[in-house]
Amino acid sequence: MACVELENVSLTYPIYGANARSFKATLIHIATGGSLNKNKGNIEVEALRDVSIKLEKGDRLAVLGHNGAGKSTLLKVLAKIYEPTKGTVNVHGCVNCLFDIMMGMDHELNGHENIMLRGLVLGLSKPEIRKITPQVEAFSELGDFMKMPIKSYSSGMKVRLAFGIITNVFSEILLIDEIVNVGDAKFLAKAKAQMMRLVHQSEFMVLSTHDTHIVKELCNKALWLEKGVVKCHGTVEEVLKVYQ
Amino acid sequence: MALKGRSLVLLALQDIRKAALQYRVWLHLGWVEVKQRYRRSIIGPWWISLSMLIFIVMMGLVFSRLLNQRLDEYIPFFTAGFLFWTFISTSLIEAAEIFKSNSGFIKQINLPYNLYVLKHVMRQSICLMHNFVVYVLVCLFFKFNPGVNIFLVVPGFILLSLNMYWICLLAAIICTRYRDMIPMINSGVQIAFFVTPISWMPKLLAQNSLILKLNPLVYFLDLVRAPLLGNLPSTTSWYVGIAMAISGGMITFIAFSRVRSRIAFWVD
Repeated sequence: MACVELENVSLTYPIYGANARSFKATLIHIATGGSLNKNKGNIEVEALRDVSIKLEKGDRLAVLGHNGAGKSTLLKVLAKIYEPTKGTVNVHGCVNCLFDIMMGMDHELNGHENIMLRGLVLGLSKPEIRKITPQVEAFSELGDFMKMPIKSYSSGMKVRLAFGIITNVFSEILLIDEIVNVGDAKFLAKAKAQMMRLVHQSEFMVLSTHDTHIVKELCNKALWLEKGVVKCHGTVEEVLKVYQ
Repeated sequence: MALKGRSLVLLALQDIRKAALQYRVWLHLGWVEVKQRYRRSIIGPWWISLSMLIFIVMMGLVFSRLLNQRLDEYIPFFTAGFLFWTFISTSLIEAAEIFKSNSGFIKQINLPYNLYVLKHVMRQSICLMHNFVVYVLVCLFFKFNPGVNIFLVVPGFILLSLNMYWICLLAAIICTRYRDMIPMINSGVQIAFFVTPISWMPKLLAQNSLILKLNPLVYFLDLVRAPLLGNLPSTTSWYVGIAMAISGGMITFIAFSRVRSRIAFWVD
């Protein structure tokens, strides 16, 4: 049974200064008891503080907030890329992350090889990848370009391919960091339809965005983050009322 | 830290288990990386093997004279040693970048960290396999027959790889945290080439020389080089190899379980 639950999650991470990344400087610091090399240059950033989320099956949660409010960090905690320093993460089920959609694409490989590569990384088996390949081909409309290394693609074509792969992977939990906004008008319409299909397929969705239109359209719950702290959490109407 | 002792260990074990189960991913990625590295050149990966062959012939001609050794004895010796030295040294040097070069994955998807290490060792092993051709050529040229003992290279190589695995993981962790460790490793590897009997024979030193006794690389090399020369690796080499794998593996495991959750923040 898939579930998405965060309990009092806090996350602090270090930003290292040049000295703290140097083995020699650290050694001197230890050897002299910190008297010689006072500036260790370590800054701790509190990216999230005491965040709790509990989603029911079918929930579509929007994470709102300004740049640097901790939206992406929160999504990465849900994706188990970052581990919190405090609190518990209870996320079970297969997760599909739409963060950097170009992740793991190899520019020297052709379209088909990239589908294989990306599919394996996303946890598909080879037969499963062969099964989705025609769908990806149909969606990305790359035709003969599929046999060429993707470095010869335009950026729009690359996005079409990457988007085609990632939106053909089934998942129970869908995490989206900003909706992709690239390509021509025709592609955008198609991408949106594909995205909707994906959103409806998944049992849970968490989406980070600035765009309140998308929130109203896609989500039923919202969470407003500011400086890593939850300012408001509830239904979309409740949160948007205070957010705007 | 929210997590203490036991759960840290459990999570580290889980990381290793998941990585092992995802063998399809690292096998495939390892292959792809080898292939695409040489995609542009016509003779592809054979370039490195060719340059290795040239290096061996040149070193052989000079050093056999210098050390007063017979050419048909020196060149097979140097080839067998250098073949595995290349595996050990490139594994170590490239290990420094294991997490850094995969930061695109580490920051975007939850994959076990050990998967990147397995991919790395896999890639190095593929390179070793095709460099093996150089050894075969040398054997044919000098009509050298190692006999059945050559099959002992398999268990020897397994033990060597186990050791390389923890060494690479430990080096990757340290180099990701401390950026100035990378040049230190590079110069360390250079020194190691000269103090280890690769280009010179151990028999040229006194039997109980500390130069041979204290250098773990001597034992590692013996495990794989002796079979290729038709000899049996010494029992001491086996003991040292196994002891190193266990103790080093444990130290690395403790280090890994302590810092695992921080690696994602260290890679940028």
